[in-house]
Amino acid sequence: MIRDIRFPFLDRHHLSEGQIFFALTILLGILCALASVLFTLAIDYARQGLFGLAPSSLRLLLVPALVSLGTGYLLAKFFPDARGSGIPQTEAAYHLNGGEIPARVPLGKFLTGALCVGSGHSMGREGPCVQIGGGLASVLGKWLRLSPTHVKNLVPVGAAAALSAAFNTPVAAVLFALEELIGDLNAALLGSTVVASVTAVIVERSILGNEPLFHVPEYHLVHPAELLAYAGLGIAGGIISVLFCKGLLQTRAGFKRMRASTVIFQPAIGGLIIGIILIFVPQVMGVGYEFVDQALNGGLLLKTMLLLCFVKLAATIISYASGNAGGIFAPSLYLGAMAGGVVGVIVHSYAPFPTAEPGAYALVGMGTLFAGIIRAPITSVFMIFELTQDYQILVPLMVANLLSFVISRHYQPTPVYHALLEQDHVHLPGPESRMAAATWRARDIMASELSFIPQESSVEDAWKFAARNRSECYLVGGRETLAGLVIREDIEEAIRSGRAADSVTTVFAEGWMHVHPDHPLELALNRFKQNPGLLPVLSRSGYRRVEGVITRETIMQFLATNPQE
Amino acid sequence: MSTGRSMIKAERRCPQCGKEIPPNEVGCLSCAANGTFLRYLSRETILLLCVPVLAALFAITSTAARIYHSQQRALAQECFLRGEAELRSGRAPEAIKDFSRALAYSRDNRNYRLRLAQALLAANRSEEARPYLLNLWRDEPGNGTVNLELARLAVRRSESNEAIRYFHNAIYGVWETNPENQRRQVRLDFCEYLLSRGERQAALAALIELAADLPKDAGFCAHVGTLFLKAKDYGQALDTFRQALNLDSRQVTALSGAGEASFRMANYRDARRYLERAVRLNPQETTAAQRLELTNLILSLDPLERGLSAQTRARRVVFAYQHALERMRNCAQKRGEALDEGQPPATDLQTAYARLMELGPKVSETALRRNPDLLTQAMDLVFEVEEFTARDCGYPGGVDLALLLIARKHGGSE
Repeated sequence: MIRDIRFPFLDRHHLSEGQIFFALTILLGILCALASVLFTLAIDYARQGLFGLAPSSLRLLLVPALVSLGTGYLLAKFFPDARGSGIPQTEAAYHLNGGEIPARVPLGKFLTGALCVGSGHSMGREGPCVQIGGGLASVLGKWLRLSPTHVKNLVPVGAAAALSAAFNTPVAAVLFALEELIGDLNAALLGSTVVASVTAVIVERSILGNEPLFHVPEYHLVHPAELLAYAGLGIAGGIISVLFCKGLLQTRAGFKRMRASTVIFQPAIGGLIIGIILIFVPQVMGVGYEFVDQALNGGLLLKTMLLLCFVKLAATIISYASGNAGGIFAPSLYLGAMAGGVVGVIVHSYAPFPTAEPGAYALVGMGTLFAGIIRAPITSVFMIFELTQDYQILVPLMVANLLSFVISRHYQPTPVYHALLEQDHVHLPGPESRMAAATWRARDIMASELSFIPQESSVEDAWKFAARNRSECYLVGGRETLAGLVIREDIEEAIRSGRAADSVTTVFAEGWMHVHPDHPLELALNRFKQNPGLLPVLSRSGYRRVEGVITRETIMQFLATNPQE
Repeated sequence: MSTGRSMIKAERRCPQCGKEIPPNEVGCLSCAANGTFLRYLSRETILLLCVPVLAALFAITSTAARIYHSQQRALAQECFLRGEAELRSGRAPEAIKDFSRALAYSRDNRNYRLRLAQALLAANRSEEARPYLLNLWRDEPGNGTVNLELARLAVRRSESNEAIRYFHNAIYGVWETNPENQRRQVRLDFCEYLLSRGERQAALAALIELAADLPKDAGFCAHVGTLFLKAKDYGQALDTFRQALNLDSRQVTALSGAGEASFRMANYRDARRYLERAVRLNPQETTAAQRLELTNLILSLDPLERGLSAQTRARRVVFAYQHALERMRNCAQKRGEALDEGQPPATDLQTAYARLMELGPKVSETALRRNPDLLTQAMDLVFEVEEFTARDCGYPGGVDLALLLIARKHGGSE
């Protein structure tokens, strides 16, 4: 029988669940890095193959539409979860589906993402990489038969590893996984994400070399008054972020209002519009990091950057809203670099005080738009800090990012990823409820009013007690000295078998679980499931002292008073 | 059946399929491996199998990346070569597109970046070229080419301090090929820049430094000599032109230059010798031809030239006197001043005219042959008139210019 396949050597070395999780963290770091590198190469190969060296206008017009026709079919028929960025879907899988991501999702994302971005759609590769990484993690976790909790925990680990390799910023990738995906910077997964992220970046650099993603200019805060200019950049970034988010959501809503039968063709409609845009402004094609690099190094004129900022904004909205596969991570950086460059040139030309080169503003602009659109302010600061490795940039960056974040949140209260999910009728728990949920403890759902069957009671006394108190399980002993639990079913069985005079201790249940008051809600609920209708909450200072009990009634009461949970 | 001590039932069900998870398994076997053979392998075995799979995937990815990068390099080189051809043909906008493409395929290539910057400069898009050059400079502050381009850019932007700094960096910078020649060329550019700004002393200092190490290149030497001419160091210029002529006696620029330097130093005989050879070698050399004409005129009019017979000398003085008189009358007419002989002179012009008229009856060939003092007196007055009219009535041409230059030669002006 196949089940008998065993390797004697391995049988002698059984690994614990934790050890397997750790080993898988490293393996995922390698696998996700390889997937990210392959995805990046696939995009470039697709782009070269589809456009060649100097594409004609006809080619620019037709390629995005024709490719989107094909990917539209694939996305509608086989990979519906692979549309768009992939980050919202990964978040939904993590928060709502216990990290369950089917194997077809990373596969479909790789295929359609490479084709869509490679065919000139104004979209990024980081979002798809996150979904591919998260998907691979989920699939591997299931193959290794990890517990649901561990499978769920692997998703942000894989996502961080893939992002780390795709964007070459390991610290920002870790923070992004914690801040955006998990929604908790204090998450217990910090160690795992760091390990996977570092592993991924080592693998990525060993294949692609140590060249940075951008040639970042030296940063200097030339004059303290420049902080005002950065504040202005923050305000501009906030406004552009709102424009982008509103425009994206409304355009997408417009596409969603179209008849269901048009879903296959919607990406091609977007592709046709993109084709027209590419004829006139080919610089908005694909990821576009080469133009970000130019903006960072002052290689673009003011009018060019202004044009690219608004055309890229429109192109990204159309590409994404029409249902193609690709992210908004890179476009947000592109928009930021252009907006920052514009502000930089104006400030550099007209400010009455000495200022840094426009490239420095483009750099801060990248973080500013990222904070405004993606709404991951900590990640945005550390991402740019990691790119520059210059401490001086922190204060201007924080000033600009904070303003952009505040303006964006004021006019677009729901973060764009969550709003996109809401359009798909998926409601993720907001940061507030996630934080609240993380802070709920066993003490919050226990009842403190207790009744005990005295330890010296007989089975018959216990039976009389049970007759007065309808419950599945009872505490035996006293508040200060819990002796054990008895199950109603066992009491009945003992009565029926004529052991009514026996001590109640003879029918004590075995292997019952308990929690302490500070245990998290999730653990308490898991343990409650393993006890028959009652979970004692015991004091940490006195192991047998009962602080309370968790029962179905107390849980229902908690849910009634906290409906968002 | 109850034993009286029932176990709490730790039954676990799969949240997906609802099936019971066996006590010795951590996850649902049905769902976990989706019916694949993996369900029959232990987790340790699967982990171990991942290692060779990942190794193979790593090898595939590395190979794909290597192939991709080599293709990128080839494409970049193709675009670069096309850009070079475009730039050589003077089609800078097309070259910019090609160099940009080359850079997109190989964005870390400094040479492509530099050529793109140079193409942008050639297309008068210096504002776009500058950041590329500055970035290159940040990477390699000692790169000679980058510093030279930055210097040229600073010249365009009228940033003289920056220009001088970058020129110095370029002169003492690192050059990958033929560093000596490159440095000399930069010095040449630097000198030209200083001369264009009128910084003659600084230019002379740089030129002297350059002249100390001239290559065996007649053209280059002639170029340096021309700069000495511009810097008005005619002696150094003549020496440099002679060096050029030693290397190539038919170097027309050097011959013209040597003629000009000699002319400026009032060595008109030498000037004629050089200029005649220059014009003979290249009849199209109009500047040299005009200069030769003037030189010949000077040599044919100068009454103080050595070796002349007394008669010739006297004839030249009479000619000069009469020409000076004519020049004075024209000048007075131009200025609207009357040269009435009956009136006492009121202006400088009238005073000079009165002196000319006073000397007039004495100026004849016979009188001059007899009285050498009269010859000197007449020529002094002629020189004075030429200088005076040159100042008040515009720089002269033809015979008057020749007389003025003769005057200056003998007066020791230039």
